[in-house]
Amino acid sequence: MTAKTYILLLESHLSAAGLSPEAFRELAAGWDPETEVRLVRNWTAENVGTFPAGARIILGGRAEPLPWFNGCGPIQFPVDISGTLPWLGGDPEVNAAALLKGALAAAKSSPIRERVTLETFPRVLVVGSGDAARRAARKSSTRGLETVWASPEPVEPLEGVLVLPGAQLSGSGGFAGRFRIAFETDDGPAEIQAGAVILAGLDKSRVAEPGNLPNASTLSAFEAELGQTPAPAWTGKGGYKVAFLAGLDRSTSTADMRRLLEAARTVAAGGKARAYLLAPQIKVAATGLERLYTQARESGVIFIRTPESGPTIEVLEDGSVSLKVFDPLARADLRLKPDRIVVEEPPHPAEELIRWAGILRMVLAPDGYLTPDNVLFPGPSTTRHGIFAVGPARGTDSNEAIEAEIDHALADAARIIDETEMESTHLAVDKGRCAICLTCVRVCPHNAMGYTHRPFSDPAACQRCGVCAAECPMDAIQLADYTDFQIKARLEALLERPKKDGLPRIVVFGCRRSAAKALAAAPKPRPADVVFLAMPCAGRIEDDLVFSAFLGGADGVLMAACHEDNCRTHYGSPKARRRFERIRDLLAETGYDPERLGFTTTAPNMGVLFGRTLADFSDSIGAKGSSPINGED
Amino acid sequence: VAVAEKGFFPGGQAAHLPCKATEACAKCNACLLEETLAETAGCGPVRIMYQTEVVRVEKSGQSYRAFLRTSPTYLDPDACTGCGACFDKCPEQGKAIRKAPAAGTLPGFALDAASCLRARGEECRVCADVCPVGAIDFSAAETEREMDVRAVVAAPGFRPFDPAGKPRYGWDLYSDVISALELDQMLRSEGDLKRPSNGSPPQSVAFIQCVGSRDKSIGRDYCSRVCCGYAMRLARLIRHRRPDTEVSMFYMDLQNTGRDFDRFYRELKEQIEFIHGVPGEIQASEDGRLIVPYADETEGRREQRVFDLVVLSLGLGPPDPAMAEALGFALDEDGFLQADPAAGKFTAGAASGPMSIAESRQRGAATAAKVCEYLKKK
Repeated sequence: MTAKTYILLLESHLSAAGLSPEAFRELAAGWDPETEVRLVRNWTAENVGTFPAGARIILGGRAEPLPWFNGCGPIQFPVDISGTLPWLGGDPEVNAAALLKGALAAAKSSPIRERVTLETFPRVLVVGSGDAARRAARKSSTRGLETVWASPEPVEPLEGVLVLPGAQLSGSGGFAGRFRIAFETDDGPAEIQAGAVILAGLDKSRVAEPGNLPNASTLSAFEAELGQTPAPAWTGKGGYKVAFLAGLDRSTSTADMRRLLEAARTVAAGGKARAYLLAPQIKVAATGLERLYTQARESGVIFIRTPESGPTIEVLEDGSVSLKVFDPLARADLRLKPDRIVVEEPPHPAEELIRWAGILRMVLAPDGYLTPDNVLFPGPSTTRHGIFAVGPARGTDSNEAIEAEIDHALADAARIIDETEMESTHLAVDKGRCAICLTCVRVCPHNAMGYTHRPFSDPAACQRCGVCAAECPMDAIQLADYTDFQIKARLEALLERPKKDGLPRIVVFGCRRSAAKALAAAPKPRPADVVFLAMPCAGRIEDDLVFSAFLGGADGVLMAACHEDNCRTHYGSPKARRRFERIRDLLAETGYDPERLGFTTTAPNMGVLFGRTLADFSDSIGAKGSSPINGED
Repeated sequence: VAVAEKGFFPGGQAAHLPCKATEACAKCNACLLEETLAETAGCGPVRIMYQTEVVRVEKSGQSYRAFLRTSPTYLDPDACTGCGACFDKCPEQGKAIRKAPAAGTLPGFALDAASCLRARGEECRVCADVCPVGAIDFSAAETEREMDVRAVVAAPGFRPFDPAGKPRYGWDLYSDVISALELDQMLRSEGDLKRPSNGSPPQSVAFIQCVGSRDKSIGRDYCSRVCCGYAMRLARLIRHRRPDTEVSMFYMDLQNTGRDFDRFYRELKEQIEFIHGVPGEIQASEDGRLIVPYADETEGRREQRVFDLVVLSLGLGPPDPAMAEALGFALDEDGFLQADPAAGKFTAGAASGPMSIAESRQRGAATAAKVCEYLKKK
């Protein structure tokens, strides 16, 4: 089947580019007589019309593909005329033509999309012991999902759930929808096939440091004591004094602050003892906490602000404990000799999580939890598609938040299990070139690559970032829509235009998620000649592309990535920065001015700033004059 | 799904917030809006009606009847292609033709009749003539319609505390006393920080926390939950962009801003000065700067400091109670909307209480799931 190519263009953009419909049709026919040009008033489905499966559509004037065609056949090449055109210097007509010519060349070399069907395992695996794990397993089962609960510790059975007690995670294979997870259990080894995995950690908390003091209790032990009937009979000189110490090792969570305030209020309101709450900060950023704080004060709880390091603690000779805090109002040290000290048990990451991350090949966050602290990985999402972390596996301790995480994980899990038909990734591995060095398998930020005889990418797990293609030392991997040929075809078409206005020619390789959106939002630029090439991720920008830009006539090249920790590819952006530094070194080695290569980070909502960055970069390159490769103008 | 959007564009307050990243992401979540809007725009069954208010909602049997009023949409949002010809040619330069705050979303532009020359009786029709798709029609009229719906999700958002309610900070007296939201908008639309009075970059900036939060005297007996986060991120951003700027922050208690709060706070303490306490009445100095008096706790005496710019971290207040009444929602003791899921009434976003962008997203998704469950059950 030969696939036909269509160019769709907004009438308004055509007129804005100064082209008549007839002139444009003639241009298009000159590039390729088989191409059909459709001029549309706007991008509604009725206006755009229908296309045969496998059609290649160039969307002239859109930054994004048309969503209603996604995954149902046609391959779309958005050509952002409105965002890009103002940044290209010289003749708008020539520019629009070059943009579309580049897109056409890229479209023609694109393989036809295929749909693949992959059976998924209709099963959710919950790993962990403790309350969050139990809740996740129960909820999964009540949602009608077949559920297996692997608990490292002995647990009570749960109706409708297959429980594996004493299950220690020992191995993993497969991808989202088709995981195979191995355990050592009390009854020997077991392998569970599951579509999605929810890691609920281990219920372990650490007692805050002063917990080893004489008279010290943990908050949970103290709460249990308060709940006893009859109420505990406390006696002490001048009334029994209870000091609650908060926020010493780390900031108190609002969930713990609520418990502390409740306990302190109960003590003070009982009238038999006095309650003191010592904390550097009172955390009230949760529903009703400010009110509870007020009520605690009104009940007689005395609040003492301590330094970040807490009060000065002394154990006296008679075994009693003295707490010392400077009181700014009295201009003196305040000393307190409590009969009881109550300390928090802040959540902390279980050591087990390190082992889990290794076995499941996922990134462990610097704070020791299993979800990255990255806004693009919301809630329980981890760096592995189909594996989720909730509660103690991601450091959450409020019941409300854990419920939300479980709901989120189960909704995504159900979607992954239901989605058996999908577009193949079109990550082509050239067998002739591949040296089976498995660099791609190691560098894939999503752990979406496996290998049998050759490396392959999993269509469900692959996020199409192209990091593997950039890293492959043999240039054996190509990502559809962003093959070396396609990117270079776009680049060449735009660089072929005659230089005008004495402006430096700048080539920007920018992430489509951040930089491309920021460019579209940038206000009308200063005169510039900026060729923008959208990349699936800044991690896709490889040395070869940068050199091609310089050899093709660029006076300056800018790599535009996302901010650190705001990269959908997790470390595509830091990779791009390291590559930038390396290419600069290479340029310097050859005697070429390394300053002609720049690097910047941006966010999609910072159009004004990004526009200024581009204009400033253009100015700095302009001051250097024409690139020596281009000779004297 | 039908969405009645009172404004010209979707996205609420978040659409006006800047990215607060330095080299590294500040985890404010504002950047996710663009992506969410793009996803929603492509979501077939969602229909957004702009400039539309819900006049009232009546119970009718198992479902509800919603009465909607749409102000005249002179620029048809469904026809707009976002080419910007009208915006470029409008003689009122950005006031009458408004640009969508989120890039690459449609409608790209809207006509704000109040700022249009025609509102002043002039016969301007530059935009209508220049529009290549004929999306601008001055004969558009107000329309009313009724709609039967099975569930109602109220998401009118919050109202920021009116800084005039704290006259001692002089927000309406001094142009260099601004709200954090105004600072946000300045950073987004201009990409830089300046004193409104003279356009120069400030040498010293003070943030005042809890303006309209944790204050029983004005009926705000709650913490607004997001201000410590945005103010600390803004402070870090200012120090990053202009390292010579001195930044101070007056606070009552610093609230956790995210998972890495302890590290973030420790690093920020090296860069800015945290001053515990609530400042007194702000006055102007002779050279037009701002004098902020406060009690210095470490020295135990009254002090004052002079700043070029004072930023008020305004608390998040409940939405207009008239809106809750029109929608038939009960209010909690702080005036925020209360959901009644059993009756098919749900909330999303900060209308039900102060919450961050991240929390709004997560809770919004949870609400959507609950609505689906409710519809299935019926």
